[in-house]
Amino acid sequence: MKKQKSLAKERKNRNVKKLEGEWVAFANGKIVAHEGTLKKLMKKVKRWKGNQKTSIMLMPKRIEGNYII
Amino acid sequence: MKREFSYFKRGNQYFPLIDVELIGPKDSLVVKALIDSGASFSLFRPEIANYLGIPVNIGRKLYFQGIKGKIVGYLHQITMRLDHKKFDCYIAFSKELDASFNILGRNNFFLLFLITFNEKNQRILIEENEGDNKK
Repeated sequence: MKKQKSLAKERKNRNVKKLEGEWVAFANGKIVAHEGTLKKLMKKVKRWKGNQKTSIMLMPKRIEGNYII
Repeated sequence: MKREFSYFKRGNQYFPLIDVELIGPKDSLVVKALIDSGASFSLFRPEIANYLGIPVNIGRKLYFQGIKGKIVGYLHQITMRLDHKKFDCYIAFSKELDASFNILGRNNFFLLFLITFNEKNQRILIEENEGDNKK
């Protein structure tokens, strides 16, 4: 059980790491699309047939560290 | 207007991000932005200005001092929507912004809303500042 949980966590972390520096679109708290540029992402989002409104952000890179802005 | 947002989880960290819609001359976009009470101004990524059809360099040129150093940005008045409330918000765009997050600072976003950080429960509450239309 513990091993399963840790595997799931590892998989999740790997996915998040994969999106570092990418433009990501969310709908209802879930990632629905990701691309290297905002322009490409929005092309993809406009083709997406979901009902919810999407919100976008540039996923921070790990090297950005902690925010103290 | 009263709206609550959950903090955004990224690895082991949580960030007070909210969704705001920016309406530009060419297009509109719902963007996640970090609420930052330490920032005097809102500072957004230049890619967003490009997408909205806003020429970055025609805005008012301002310098922004961060911990690392000074960067240049261009201030614009943009139509913004939060929930059903539509208002004008001053946003600077900078090509020198290293941070990935868009930053919602005090001038003038904080004048329009009462903002409560519930750090313990990782939630942020935004309420309309009733009867105060100062910008």
